[in-house]
Amino acid sequence: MRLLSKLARKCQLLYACQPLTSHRDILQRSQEAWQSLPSWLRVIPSSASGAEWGPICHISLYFQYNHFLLERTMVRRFHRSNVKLCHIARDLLQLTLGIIAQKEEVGGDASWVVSQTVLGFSTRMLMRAGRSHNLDCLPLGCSRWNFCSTARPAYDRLIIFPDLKLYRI
Amino acid sequence: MQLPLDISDSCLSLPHDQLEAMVNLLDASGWNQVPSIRGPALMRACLICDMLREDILELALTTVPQNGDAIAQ
Repeated sequence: MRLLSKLARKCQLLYACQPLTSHRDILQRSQEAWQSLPSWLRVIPSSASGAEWGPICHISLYFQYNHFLLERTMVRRFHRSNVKLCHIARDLLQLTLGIIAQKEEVGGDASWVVSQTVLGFSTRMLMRAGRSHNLDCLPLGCSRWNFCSTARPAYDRLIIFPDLKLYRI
Repeated sequence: MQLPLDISDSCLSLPHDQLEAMVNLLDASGWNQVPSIRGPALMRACLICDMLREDILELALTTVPQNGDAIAQ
């Protein structure tokens, strides 16, 4: 029994020392995968148009969200600085707001659901970062509209004012 | 993992020669060269993304050894 537990411990250590993938490796493969997509699939919301923009923007959102998950793993598991993660979360939020803005114009329930989910993650991340860096607000830009939102730690959700085209955290 | 080809399900029931003609329209990577938003193209792109996500999950579940930086690199 003791021998078995020793063996299990050895296997665990061996597995720990030989990770199948690394951060840099995943990042590189992600970039290669994005570049390998046909150009018509590599579209961001600000440049998308027509009724088919929703599904295309999902692809962009999927890849960006992967990037977010990867950096969040690095921060949580390997205690890396969260500065890069904040930038990614902000880009993700910007992309998501772009999709929501498009949705209001052309519709698309699936896009709405996905973007709302991602919106929750990225917003929460930014608010946490705001708290940890003792910031009152975090500026958020959106390429589509030149408005500015502020992330206030006191609020626990994002408030959207579609009429005013204003998003506030 | 081999990705599915960017052809619609309805093409799969075509006669062999027509199916072959459809496959010949694809590029070397298996993407349809006609830019059109179809299910297969999106599923293919999502699958690529999901494979990367699986690697991220694997990284997240990896036991952190003393020299965690080695993995992080």
